Amino acid sequence: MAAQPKLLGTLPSPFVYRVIWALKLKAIPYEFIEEDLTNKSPLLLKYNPVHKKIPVFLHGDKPVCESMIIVEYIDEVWPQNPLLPNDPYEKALARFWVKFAEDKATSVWRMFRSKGEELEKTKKETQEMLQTVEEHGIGEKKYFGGDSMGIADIAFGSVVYWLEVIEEAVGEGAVFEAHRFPRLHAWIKNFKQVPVIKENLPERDWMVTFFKNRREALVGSA
Amino acid sequence: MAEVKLLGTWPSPFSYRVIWALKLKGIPYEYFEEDLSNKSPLLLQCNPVHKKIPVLIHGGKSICESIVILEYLEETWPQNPLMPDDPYERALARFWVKFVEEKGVAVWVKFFSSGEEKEKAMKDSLEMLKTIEEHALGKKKFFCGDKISLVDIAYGWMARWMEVIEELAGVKLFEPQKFPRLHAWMKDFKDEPMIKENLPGHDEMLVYFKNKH
Repeated sequence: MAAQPKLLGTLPSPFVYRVIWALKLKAIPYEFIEEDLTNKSPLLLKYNPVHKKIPVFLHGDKPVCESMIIVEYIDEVWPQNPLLPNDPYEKALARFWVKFAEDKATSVWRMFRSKGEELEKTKKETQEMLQTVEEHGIGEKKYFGGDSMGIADIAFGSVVYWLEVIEEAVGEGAVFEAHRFPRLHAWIKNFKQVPVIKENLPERDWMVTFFKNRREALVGSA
Repeated sequence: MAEVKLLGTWPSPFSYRVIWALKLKGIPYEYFEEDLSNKSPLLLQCNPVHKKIPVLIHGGKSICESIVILEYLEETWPQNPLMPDDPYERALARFWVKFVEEKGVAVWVKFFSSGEEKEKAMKDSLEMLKTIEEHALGKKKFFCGDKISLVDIAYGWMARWMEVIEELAGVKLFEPQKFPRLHAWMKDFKDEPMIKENLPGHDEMLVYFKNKH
């Protein structure tokens, strides 16, 4: 491919970061195009007519949509530093947990947008999700992928790092408690220390301010 | 090859997704009908996270979630491939699978509600059908070309379950003149020998879903 691939996105979207991490882990040069979601570009509407959402990955003239599908595509086209295991069963396990993250992690965003009774409900849902991952998902492994990071780490990394920020921005009690989720706490610490991830994490204080302001606009003052 | 077991329930379209893939690839398997009101120790052991069917057990290892199972079957038994070779075509296939997972199967359950919730379910269903009609099929016979693929299998619930739901809910959304491509696809899908021989009976399904709701 002659031209560099392009990534259409907004920061600090966790879905966009999933793709950034995959590209950086494989040292793939790309051009980032910042979208204004209040005024979607013709490019975005052309390349994601179904959902009109970011991220969109443009490889040549071909658009790939949906963050984890983009990550799998990148893994297939650029096989260096593989993100999926070779063994079909291990692959199936990785895919199971990616699906789990996709299906259940919406509670974090619903928590972000709610207050009162709804907030309590979504907090509880989020903790149930974390409990399942703590018990069945991460186990005794360093990463979901075993000794090295993989696709499930990318999926959960974007959930948990943003959850840490959001629980602070919401400011209504801890959700991701260290004593309740020791394995996950150890895992996210390892995840954040992976050099490529460390260099490509939005700055925490900035994020907290960003999400505090967003929340204020969405739900008003508590 | 180690033996393959499938835990399922007969009215479940998710169960059938796996059956169709197994049949299309000619993989011998043993089927176990689960009673979801009294889940077997095997099911609880093999799917502790969701406690749901279908579960595929291959050489003692269990794989859960129908689409994850399909991708596993595709990788382990490459004959009669269900996914395209080209990575971009595969990404498109996965996109449409995700679409039906999110929009299709979630909506149908709400058909059995009433009032505002049912109205919304109908509206969402229509939008979903329109999107598929407009963007997904194009001029192709099946979602990925001339042959049945994992995507067609994911949409296969439309072949029998949708008509049953519409009948019971007393709504008619999936009209041939509005959705000609989808209707053609459904006919072609149901005509495939392996699918034709492996569809649950219409009448039995009516009775089952009527009693359930």
